Amino acid sequence: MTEVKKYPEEPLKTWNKAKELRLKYFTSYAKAHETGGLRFCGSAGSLNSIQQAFGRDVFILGSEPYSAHAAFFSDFARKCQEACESRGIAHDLCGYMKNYWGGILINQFILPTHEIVPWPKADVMWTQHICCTHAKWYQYAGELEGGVPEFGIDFNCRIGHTMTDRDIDYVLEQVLEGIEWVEKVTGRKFDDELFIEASLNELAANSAWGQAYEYNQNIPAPIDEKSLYSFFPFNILCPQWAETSALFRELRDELKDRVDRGIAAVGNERFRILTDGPPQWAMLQVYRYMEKVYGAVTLGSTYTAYWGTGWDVAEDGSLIAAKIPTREEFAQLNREARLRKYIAWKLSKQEAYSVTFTGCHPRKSALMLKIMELWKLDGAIIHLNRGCEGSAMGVLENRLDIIKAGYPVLTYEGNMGDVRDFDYAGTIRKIENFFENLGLEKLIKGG
Amino acid sequence: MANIGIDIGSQNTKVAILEDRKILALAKVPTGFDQQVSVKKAIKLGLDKAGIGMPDSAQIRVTGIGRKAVPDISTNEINETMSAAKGAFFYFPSARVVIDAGAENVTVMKVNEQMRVLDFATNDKCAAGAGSFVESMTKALGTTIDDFAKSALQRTEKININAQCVIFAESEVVSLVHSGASRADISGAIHEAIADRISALVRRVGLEKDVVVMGGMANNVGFIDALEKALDVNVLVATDPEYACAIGAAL
Ligand code: SF4
Repeated sequence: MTEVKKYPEEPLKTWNKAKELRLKYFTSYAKAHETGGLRFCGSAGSLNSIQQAFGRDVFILGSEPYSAHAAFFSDFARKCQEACESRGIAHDLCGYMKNYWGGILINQFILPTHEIVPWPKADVMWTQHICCTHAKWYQYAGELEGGVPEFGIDFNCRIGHTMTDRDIDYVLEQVLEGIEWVEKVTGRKFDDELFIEASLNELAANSAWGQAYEYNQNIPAPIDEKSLYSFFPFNILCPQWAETSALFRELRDELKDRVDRGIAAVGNERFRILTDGPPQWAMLQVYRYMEKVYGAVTLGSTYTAYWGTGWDVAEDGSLIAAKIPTREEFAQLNREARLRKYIAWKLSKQEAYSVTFTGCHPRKSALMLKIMELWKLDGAIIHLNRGCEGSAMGVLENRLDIIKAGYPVLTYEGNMGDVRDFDYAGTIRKIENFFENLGLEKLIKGG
Repeated sequence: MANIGIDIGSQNTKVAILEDRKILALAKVPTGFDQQVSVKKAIKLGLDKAGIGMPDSAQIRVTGIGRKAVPDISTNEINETMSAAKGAFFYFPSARVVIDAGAENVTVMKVNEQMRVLDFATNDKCAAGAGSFVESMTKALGTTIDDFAKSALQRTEKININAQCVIFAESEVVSLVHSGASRADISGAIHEAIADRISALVRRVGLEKDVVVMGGMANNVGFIDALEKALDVNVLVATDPEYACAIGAAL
């Protein structure tokens, strides 16, 4: 048995608040009609503040995080997947989309408490297109739900820090048209004051997430990736809620305090890992296995670092939590200029859309390598994700680029939405081979 | 003092008994459902062949996908990439890429001159590059593995097996039989398909000479021929390739 330095550990205090917020989020969507509210649904992070500007009682479902949450309950997800397949839907389509469509087909929606309620039919589909699946996802979902009006916004692949004015205009024009469209289909007016309030919350949340995330550059890391998974979806689910920015600020302060006091997420930390896109949600215990048996802690990913987070990218590629506009800066503008500023911030600060979901592998590799350098990581684990063509595109090239830079990389196969595509025992064997070949002995005999 | 290496594979359990790097005995039995029983049987067979008694448990080391199943026989384990690298070096110290192609699993490793595994790739959830693929095609054609493998060398026409999955490939083979394709051409196509899958794994870790092939599939001449063509290199095959991991575990 190998002796390793044992750092002190403490449970995260903000953890329970995240749990409460998650329950509130899903429950308020499911119950929106009870109070006369409206349900908007679409790809997560589809410019939420614009949707919120149609009323405080608009509840927005980000369908990928919902489907990820459903995947966590593997028996439930299996039922959704099988419902799709028995309807003739191909096995290899997006794993999240099938959890979503499957929920409609079996008329079941799962809450974080494991309570199953009838499927809450959306009133409006408002979505972005970041991969070729999205348009079909909501078109077909709308059909299955008996006809739901849909509006899709196409994001172009240059978003991120290389975005140009033309790219912003391209999205802005669609948004302006979309606002008119929503006014027509809902009979509600776009409320500029509400938009200002929501968007300032949203940008503050996205920026605070970046500030919190930066603390994981510390050795030992104050938070692990499994815990980051529980917090980061709020960046795209309900960033426009004041509770989200408050939660992220509290998390940031807690992480700072943990860093100051040398508190580790994993006391055994001795090998620091980066991962990439969505994991195998129903099998997060593989992370626990790596921690317990090898002291190998996964503490960041392109997913949690980039999706929804506001980063400024410095000349040398370093990432700094983005600055946010003040209320005055927003309030003094007219609607169009304000929307433009909001869109520009959202799209230019969020590399994930462009690099994680469009297979732009040189940029994604560069970003992965930058995190590896800044976050002082020792290796990477890449998910060959059969469930998401968006995030799986180019990952083998990323692997080669990371190996070329001198880091070891392990790949494993799975499907974020569907545990049937995952081989737990085989993955554990690979993990053992990987770490032992690197010379890391087991900390626990037998493993 | 003799050392025992046990490789518990998905189809066979192999035992190698070595003393001072000299092979005293090699033995194998089908793994079956109860690994404890098959391991005991294989050890007994090996010890009988070697004509020695049971050594101390510290001299027994286990590897392979079933290695966790026999903790009361050996608490000593070595992972399959390490045992494969050691087994390959036992025969060929010039090995830089090691292909271990067994019944269900294919692992391709890149190793350095110190026998360290630098990178590896596996066939994950697909058996289309492994021995069971050949076995199931052999059954579909009503022949033996040996005859089937040799017939690949008599191939006259190039046909392709497009399906990547054993089940679909089998129905494709049946269609080829009905369309009048010869057994040699079908065999050639199947071995080529397997070699293509494995050469893709080799390219993932990086092709470097010497390439050593081990595992049960290394006995298949049709596969070795197709692999050499796919990689465009001559590969090295050990004398008892299916025992190489057991030998690596014993070393
Ligand atoms: S990016 Fe992935 S999760 Fe999103 S729609 Fe495309 S395939 Fe599905």
